[in-house]
Amino acid sequence: MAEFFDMGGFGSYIWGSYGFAVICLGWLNYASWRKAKTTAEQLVIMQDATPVSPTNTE
Amino acid sequence: MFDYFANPSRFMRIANRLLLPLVILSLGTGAIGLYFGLFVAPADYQQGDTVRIIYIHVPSAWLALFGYVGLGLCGLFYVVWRHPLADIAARAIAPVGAVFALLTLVTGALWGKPMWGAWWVWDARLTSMLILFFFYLGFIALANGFDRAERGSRPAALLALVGMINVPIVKFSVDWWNTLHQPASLLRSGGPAIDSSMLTPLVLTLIAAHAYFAILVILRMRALLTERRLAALMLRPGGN
Repeated sequence: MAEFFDMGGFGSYIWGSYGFAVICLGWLNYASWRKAKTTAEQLVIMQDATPVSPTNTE
Repeated sequence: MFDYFANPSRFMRIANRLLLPLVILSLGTGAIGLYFGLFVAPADYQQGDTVRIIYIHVPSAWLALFGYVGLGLCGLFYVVWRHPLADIAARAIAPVGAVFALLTLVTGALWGKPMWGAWWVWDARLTSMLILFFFYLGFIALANGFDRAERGSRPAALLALVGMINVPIVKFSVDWWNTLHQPASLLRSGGPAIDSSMLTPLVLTLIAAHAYFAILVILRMRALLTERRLAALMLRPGGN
């Protein structure tokens, strides 16, 4: 197992690459889901507060 | 057909339906690809285990480039037809493409140091990739640099179009100049120059990265479209 993580002496470069990828892509994923969720929630609140009109039925 | 899909609500309905299959595809191919890449594929005879960085470096680079082609096409559609969905798509693509470009540069540096002895060299491939990253940042800055977001759309779209010049330079830099970066191993005449033991995980991680990119762009487009609808509701008489 230790041999696997050592990666022939290049472990820090390889795991550094994978770690950076996980952080970047994970953060981007979290931020994108959260923004989609919060804007959708805001829209529901706004639509409930806005009087219904024929143009508001979409 | 273009008009049919360019309707924002119809487009989002289709995109949302694709979301779950894309998540399954991305997780499935990503997990299998990384398992084969890290555990099964052999170390390279010259580069040793550092070659395993390829399974993130190459998919990131492809997506950074493909993403930019998408950004440029959206720029074209926006400049010529002024279609708001092209603007929304471009705004959704830019941050995702920028992260993939950054990932390409950082994983490239982490691969370059043990193999070339340098984190960075002003090589044609590396430099053109850095310029691509700056074009992404420039687009984001221009698109969001105005009080009313829509005012930034046209200059940002024009910048995206100008940056398209850089795309073939990135792709062919390794052929046009004598670079330290190795030439293309996948998309080359004569077929891929990689053994199937390494090609299989690479293709799988490429599929995973494409699906992941699509998921992020769909989510960001959904948020941007909702923001536009919110802004429209605010402006309406009777809205608060």
